[in-house]
Amino acid sequence: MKRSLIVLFAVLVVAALALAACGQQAPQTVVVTQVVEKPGGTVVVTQVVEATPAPPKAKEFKSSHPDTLVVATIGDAESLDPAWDYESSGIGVIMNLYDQLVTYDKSDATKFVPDLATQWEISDGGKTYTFHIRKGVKFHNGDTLTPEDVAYTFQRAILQGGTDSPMWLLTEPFFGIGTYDIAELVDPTGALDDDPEALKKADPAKLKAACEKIVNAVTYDNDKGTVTMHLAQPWGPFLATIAQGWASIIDKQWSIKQGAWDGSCDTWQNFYGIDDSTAPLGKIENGTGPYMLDHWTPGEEIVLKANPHYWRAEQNVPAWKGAPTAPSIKTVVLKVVKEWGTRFAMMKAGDADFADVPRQNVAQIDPLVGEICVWNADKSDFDCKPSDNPDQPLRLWKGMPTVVRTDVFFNFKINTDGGNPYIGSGQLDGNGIPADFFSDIHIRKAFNYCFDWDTFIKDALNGEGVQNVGPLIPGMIGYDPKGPHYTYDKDKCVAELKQAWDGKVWDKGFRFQVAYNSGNVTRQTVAQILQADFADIDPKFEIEAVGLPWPAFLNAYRASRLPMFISGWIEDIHDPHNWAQPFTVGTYARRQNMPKDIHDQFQELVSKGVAETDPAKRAEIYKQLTALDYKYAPAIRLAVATGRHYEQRWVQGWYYNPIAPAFYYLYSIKK
Amino acid sequence: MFNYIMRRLLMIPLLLFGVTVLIFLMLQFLGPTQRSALYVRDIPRNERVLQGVIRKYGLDKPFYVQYWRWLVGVTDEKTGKHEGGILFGQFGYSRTASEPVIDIIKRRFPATFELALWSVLPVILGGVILGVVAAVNHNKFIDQVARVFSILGWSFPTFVFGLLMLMIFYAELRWFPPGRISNWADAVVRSPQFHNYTTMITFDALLNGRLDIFWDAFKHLILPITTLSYLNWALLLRVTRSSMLEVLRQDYITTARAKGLSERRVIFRHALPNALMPVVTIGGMMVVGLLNGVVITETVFNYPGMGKAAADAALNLDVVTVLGLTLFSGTLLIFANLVVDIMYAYIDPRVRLE
Repeated sequence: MKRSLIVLFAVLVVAALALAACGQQAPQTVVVTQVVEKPGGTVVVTQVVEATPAPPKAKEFKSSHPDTLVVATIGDAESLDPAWDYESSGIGVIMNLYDQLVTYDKSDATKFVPDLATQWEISDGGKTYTFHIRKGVKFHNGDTLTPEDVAYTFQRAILQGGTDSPMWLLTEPFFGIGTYDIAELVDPTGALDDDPEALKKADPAKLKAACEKIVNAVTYDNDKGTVTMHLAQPWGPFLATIAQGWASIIDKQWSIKQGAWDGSCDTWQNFYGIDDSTAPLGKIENGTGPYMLDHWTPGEEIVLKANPHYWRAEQNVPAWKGAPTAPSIKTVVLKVVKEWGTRFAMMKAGDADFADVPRQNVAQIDPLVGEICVWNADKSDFDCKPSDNPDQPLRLWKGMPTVVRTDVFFNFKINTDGGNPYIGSGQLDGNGIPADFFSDIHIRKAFNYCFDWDTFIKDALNGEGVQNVGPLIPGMIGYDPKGPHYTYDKDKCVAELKQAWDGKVWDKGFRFQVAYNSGNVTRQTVAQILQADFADIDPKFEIEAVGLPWPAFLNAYRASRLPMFISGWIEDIHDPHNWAQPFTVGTYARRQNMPKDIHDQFQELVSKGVAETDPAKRAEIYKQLTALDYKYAPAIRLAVATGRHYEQRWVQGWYYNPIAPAFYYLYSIKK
Repeated sequence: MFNYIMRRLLMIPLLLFGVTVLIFLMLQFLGPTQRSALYVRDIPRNERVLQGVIRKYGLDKPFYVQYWRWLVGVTDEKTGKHEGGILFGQFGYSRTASEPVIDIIKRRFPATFELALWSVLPVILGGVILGVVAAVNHNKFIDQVARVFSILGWSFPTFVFGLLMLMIFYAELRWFPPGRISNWADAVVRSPQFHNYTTMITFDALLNGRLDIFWDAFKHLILPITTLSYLNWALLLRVTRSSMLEVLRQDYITTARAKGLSERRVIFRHALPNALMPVVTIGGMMVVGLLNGVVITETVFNYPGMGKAAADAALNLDVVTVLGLTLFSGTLLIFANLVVDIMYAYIDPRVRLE
């Protein structure tokens, strides 16, 4: 009898295992045949059993290097000096090494929470900010943070200046709209900008006065533990401006020891306009951030180690609700891997946790995605679910709004000094264009009507984008998706061409080159769409798409030699001013040689917009700016793409903040 | 032999002079504005600053004045500080790498040298052996197989073959990773306990008695070595094969066989040494190519060598870096040629007499 029970038990176990192997959770009917020994002989018994199989075990994803995060990236940092570096790779590293006074409330790019400042007050109609500096914070070398360090940070950064640095973002609020460099306080014409030698020879009284102006604008009181900042005018996006890498707080005494500004207004000119080969803080760091620099091998890798004495952990202060206080990942390796095939292989092999995936390569990596998280605009968060291949190792985040846009800009006065190969004959004879070709509003409108946005979004953005209206981007104060904008309309394009240059353009045609930096598929597609759209109207409208190496493109663009250029912008701060300013009066407007009358109209609105603190009034101003942009059509405003981010499924804690590229905030990540 | 080597050595300064003049002539195709990048990191946008740089470094001076300054540098009259001068190793500042060009060379050349050292044997020996086997089995099945095998390699674009290797042996099988070393091993190599005698990781690992580090570094070399070997075998096979075939038809080979020597002895003692001259030429050039960095192989396998540095600089039109690396490569070529010439003389006494 005992033996019979054993056999019966064994058979049932086998049946249960068989059911479990089926991998289906619904109850199933199974016929079980068993041989039972009974006294007197062996009997074959057939039973019908109903059983629910065990649920399938979800596939587990485990990293072979759980304490190390490897990012396969295409860009290397240029510098680690927070006041010098102005590109996303370097700022990404700086954000992990240093802290700022305020930081973002997790994924909300418009809401700020305390960082090294515990609280702040805004007074004097928005012109004075008083920050209370956190006590007991240590720099990586063990020095204690003081309000003096904070004041020195801003003073040094602004006095170091340089128009290629991000300092214009600070000089404008402190010294007034249109002041882009500290040297302009010595010579308002801008002749001393980026000219350290000439600055040293300037009137000593003027030099000292310029320095004292910033020293008086950022004052500190070590006893009270405060730093007070006096702005030249109310500045709507001020907190957004100081939440970024260039406002990272440095250690005064340590910096002076390394050769940075000594704190004296008699010598500041000797520290102005340094380049990265001589920048004392360019290759080293001493921040208060969650990570410390282990080593940086230029062009190869940057390795960060977790800060064992991170103040958030020691004081138990999470950055935002639910945030960890100490970095979970012990080592971060930011590996420069320029070749896509190699990055792809690293993701497939599981050696890279994050990787840059160019939009044109998503079809290759998508089959490796086992989980998809799609941005839900209604709740400003992601909805995640398994993909069609749930056993695959990657997680894809998609659909999130990005803060990057590429536009086509018209040059109102093309530089022809020494000849210009981009404008053919330089005449309106069908074999070229004159230098002021785009000064005619009909030409600019014709180019807007002749651009096929749908094709652009489909071909260049893989269908993941939306046409942009005006200079601002969707979601910002004053952005109206129903605002005035151009659409692809061949008839209107022809009508404008017939009116342009008193009909000469329609009679003779034109020929010129539109340049893009080779390798940039998006820009190449834009150029080719324009080429095809105009050829479709008449072959006498000839646009040649020319790919130039990046430096050649940059030189031609900076020298205003390109008749029309395709360029992109990634915002510095999540605020309409950061789009309105460069696109209508700043960087791009200057390269476009925008006429003074148009520039002045834009400038008036830009200045009003940034100084206005009432959101409703601000929105109205930016709507007017969009209408002005439509009226003068200085550019073709293209489209904003939605973003994608790929990671291994064992990575947890990544979140999306539109202002921050993939690896800005690593301390919340774990594996 | 001694006189021959001395003659060759005396030629070196002349050749080096030629190389520097040639490279400096190439620089003259750029205007003074672009040439200012030899001395300052970014070409100044401020016109006055730019003119100052041009004046300071004599970029508007006659060719020979500029050449001399390029060679020996310039001393600032006010500060007494000496700047530039390729003779002092001042090749300029690399915009793409954000460091002096000489630092790139110091860091990248050992990596390239290490890859070249490990690649030389498989590349040369593999090609020669295949060539000998093909020649000895002239027009037989084995000859056809060897030829097809190597021609396939020759026809493969490096990029495609490298990626194929990477996908199979790294992405799928996870045997041989790209790069130079794993993160864990890198941490060991950077630790104070590990002594970097040669800055070539495999050799240093052996000298430190760390077989685990050696194996990790070597694993990273296997795919680049395989790619370089397979893609270069075809040329060596063809040269060795045709050279061997020609030698094997010579009377003295028939005589050797008639004397009753074993076929092995005929081939390796009588035929092969005489067939090696063209092989030395091709092989020598291959070794120089390996030492200068192999752009595509290094790029595909993310191997931090000279080729990858040069490619990055070229793609960014970083003239200073490209010229600095070219000058270094040119110098290397001269010395490598010297070695090849000496080998010629060793193999063929007629060369010495000439």
